[in-house]
Amino acid sequence: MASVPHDHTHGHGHDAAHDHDHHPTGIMRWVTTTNHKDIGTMYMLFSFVMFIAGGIMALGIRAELFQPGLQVVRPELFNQLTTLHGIVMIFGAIMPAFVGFANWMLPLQLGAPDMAFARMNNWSFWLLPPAAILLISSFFVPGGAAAGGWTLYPPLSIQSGIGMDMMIFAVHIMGASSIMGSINIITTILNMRAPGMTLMKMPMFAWTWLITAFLLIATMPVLAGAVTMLLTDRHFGTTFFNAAGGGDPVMFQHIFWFFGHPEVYIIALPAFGVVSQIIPAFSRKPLFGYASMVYATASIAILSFIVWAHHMYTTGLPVAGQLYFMYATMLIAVPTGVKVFNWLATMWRGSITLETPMLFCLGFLFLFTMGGFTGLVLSLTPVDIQLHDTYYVVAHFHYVMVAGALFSAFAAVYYWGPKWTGWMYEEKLGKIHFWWSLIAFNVTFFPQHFLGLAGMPRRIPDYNQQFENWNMISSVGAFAFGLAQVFFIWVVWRMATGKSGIRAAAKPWDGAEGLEWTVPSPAPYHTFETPPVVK
Amino acid sequence: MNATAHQYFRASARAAHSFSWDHVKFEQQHMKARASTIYGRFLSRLGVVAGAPLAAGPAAADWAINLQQPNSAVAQQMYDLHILITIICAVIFCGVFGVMFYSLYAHRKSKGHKAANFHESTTVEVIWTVIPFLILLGMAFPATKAVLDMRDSSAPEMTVKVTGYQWKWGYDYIHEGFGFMSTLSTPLAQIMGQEAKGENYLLEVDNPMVVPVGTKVRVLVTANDVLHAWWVPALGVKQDAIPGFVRDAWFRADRPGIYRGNCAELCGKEHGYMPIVVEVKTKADYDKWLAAEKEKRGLGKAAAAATVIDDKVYTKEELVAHGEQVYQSAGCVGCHQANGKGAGSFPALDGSKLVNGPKDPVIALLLNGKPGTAMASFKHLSDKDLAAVKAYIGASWSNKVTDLAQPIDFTKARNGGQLPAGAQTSAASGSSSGAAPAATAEANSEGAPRQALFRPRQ
Repeated sequence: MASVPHDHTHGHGHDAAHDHDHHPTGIMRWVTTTNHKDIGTMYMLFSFVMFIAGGIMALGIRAELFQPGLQVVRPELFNQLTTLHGIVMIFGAIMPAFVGFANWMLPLQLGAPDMAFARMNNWSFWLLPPAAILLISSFFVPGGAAAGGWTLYPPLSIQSGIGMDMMIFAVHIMGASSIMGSINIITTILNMRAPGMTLMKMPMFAWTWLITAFLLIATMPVLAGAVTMLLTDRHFGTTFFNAAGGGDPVMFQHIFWFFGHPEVYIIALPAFGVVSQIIPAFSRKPLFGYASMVYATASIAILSFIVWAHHMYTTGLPVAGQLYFMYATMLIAVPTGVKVFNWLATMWRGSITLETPMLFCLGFLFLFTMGGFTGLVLSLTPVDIQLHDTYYVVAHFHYVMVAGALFSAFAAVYYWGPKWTGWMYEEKLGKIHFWWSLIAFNVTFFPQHFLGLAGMPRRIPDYNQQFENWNMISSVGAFAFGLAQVFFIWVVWRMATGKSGIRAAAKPWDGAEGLEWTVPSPAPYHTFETPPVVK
Repeated sequence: MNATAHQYFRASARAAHSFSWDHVKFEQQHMKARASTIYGRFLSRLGVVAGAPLAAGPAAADWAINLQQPNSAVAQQMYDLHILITIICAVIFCGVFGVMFYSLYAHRKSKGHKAANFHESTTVEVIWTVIPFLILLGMAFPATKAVLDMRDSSAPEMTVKVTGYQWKWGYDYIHEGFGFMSTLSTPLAQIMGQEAKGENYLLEVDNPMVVPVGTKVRVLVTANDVLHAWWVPALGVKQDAIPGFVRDAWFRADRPGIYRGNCAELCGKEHGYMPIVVEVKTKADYDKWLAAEKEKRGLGKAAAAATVIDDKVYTKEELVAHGEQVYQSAGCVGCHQANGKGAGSFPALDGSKLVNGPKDPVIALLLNGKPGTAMASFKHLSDKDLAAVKAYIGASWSNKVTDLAQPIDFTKARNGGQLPAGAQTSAASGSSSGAAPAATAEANSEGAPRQALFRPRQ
């Protein structure tokens, strides 16, 4: 991948003594690297490993839910699986994947030689594996892993064993990593753009990441504060969340969701950025309403800070609170709608081809819009009273998260993969992966809407027979979806090792735009040592 | 309640301390044996999809795709609102993706379509910002009305306090002066697949909440240990139960019947096993039920305002025989085990110094529990039950306790060593059932939860 030899034909404007890549070889190369491409690759590999780990947990859950009764896991292990599945997928899989794309692509898109703080970049990656080890190994400590749900609501999370402490520590570490990554991204974007690239000429991916990085810096300390209070409640006699000592368990939920709702957009916005790059490329037409896309992204980010309590309608908020949060939440539909309409208008009267990256973007559009609509349904307080903590919510956020984040991540891998590896993927295999994933995803999650409506709560290992049919279908879909990702490994393996046999041109997509396509494929170890000039 | 899920999980709590693969292995073998039948059933179910989707009759519930049939005005508003917004969303979805699919079809490079180069239009952008805004405004009106109705718990005709415990519900009829616990009644054998599952599998309890039809019932919801949520879909109520806080909600059932729901907030390992059953009776039937419940608890006309105590002296055999049942049903067996040897951090009763010592420390332990450990207070049991279980423990295994405690000892211990003032003896009231005095309804909500798995930290 990024370890291809330095391309000596590439122009250099610097001292010949630095003409070679002075990096150690073997494992130390990866441990000590400060190269944005190496670090980007490591982020992506890490995120994929975590994606597989979280996926195996999900399959454990779906195996248990295949039919009523207890067959595969005990209830306590079931709760550990649901909890760790959520944390691992959000913090281990989705967020690092997009940080990986940012590391690889932002310097290339902005015409910068590397990220602003190269050593900090190394550290923000290497903090992640210890956090992952803490999370995964917590299954094997006395009492098992944290089992209070990824939302960590006290008092339940105060009852549990050492697994919860490991999770709290892991969250601290991952939060520190995210903050460092964000500082790096903001500084790179604001200070290291090529001459002539004004902010309003930046690729959308850079814009969405700039806004996301600010969201991360604003919210990660809030989460860190929340889990620290949990920790002191657990071990040091404080009573932040214990009514007996003057605290309030619901206060945790307010603090958590003040982080948690922006977190949804931390995941979604970079995905919007990817889609905003790919749809114009395969429509061979510039992005419609670039400026309004930027404004819509910013307003989604700002709105995301004032809607947190829509996760808490059933806690017994005051009536005025329920009404306010309902109105504010409904309002988010407007800028989100603007984005979808802009993407449609970009395609309209274009010259469209349907390569795999485009297919995944269309899949993203279709599923994300569906998740957006169920979000609108859930925004109405009275309806949410029925649907809160049911499988309808599970379906809703998987439509948003899997479709929003995962499908656009797949699109990014197929779109930029040739730039990373120097080889094309095989179009036929990519398309099989797309259709397989799309169908399996819907088979898994669409029936969960019905389950939630009919009254099946989430986070239960066992249920009445009235829910059996849709659960069976959902479980079959889940295993098919898991298998599709094994197929994806194979497709990417063939691309990365050149087994696909098709060399990638510097610009493999005729409609693509941006500085990243001006460097050869695979991208040389060092790029843009002399900044390009953007007109 | 013999061998219900609760006891079973308590018995297996030991496994949770050190994660055990034994269970998993056992289950895998169990599964293998059943795999062929599962496959066959799955195929036959798919056959139902192909053959008669959404067929009428009992099968319809199996393929339910909408909210449950509402049984209150508020639930009806929720139902209607959901239908309305789903239709609006579906129409917009079809419109938007109709345009997209047309574009994908017509503006294809393979059909020779040349790309236009427009990338801005303020007019269009203003239109598609304003129109969604207006649609949202339209939806906000019925939603606001529903919120206001839903939260108007003023002027209730009756009030029931609902308390969530790990893992059961307590219902206190606070104006009637009694209360009871409501626990899952599905047998363990059904959960483990050794018996056919009943129709109301996991949605059935020993003592349902009972309310009259057409009456505005306010529920005061709270919790004893962790968060729970009291949810009955057909009645349109879901309210989180928060320890240390009381929240209210209300419903007015339109029709008599039995309505079922679940705890809707993750509350630990048996979260899936604490259903809610509300039985809505006609007003006449409700009055009959109320009178019977009061009678049962010594609150009937004959014993109004008096506390009945059980001062009968039982023989050791009587107590031990009854105590064996209590040892099972109250959950002692879950931690201390049938052989009295305990398990893991749960101490053995067999040969225990405390058990074989004088009676007062044992009485105090049973009534108050031991803070900081999994030993909960059992003061919600009747004095007779407590005396019996003490006798059973003292006479079982290698224990040979001679110092028998009678129910009256517990009555006194509850009351600081005295008989309660104005108490009426059971001989006078003619009842020797030893049901918990009315005061225990309140006491219940203070009782510590039965935490088999983790040590409470306060």
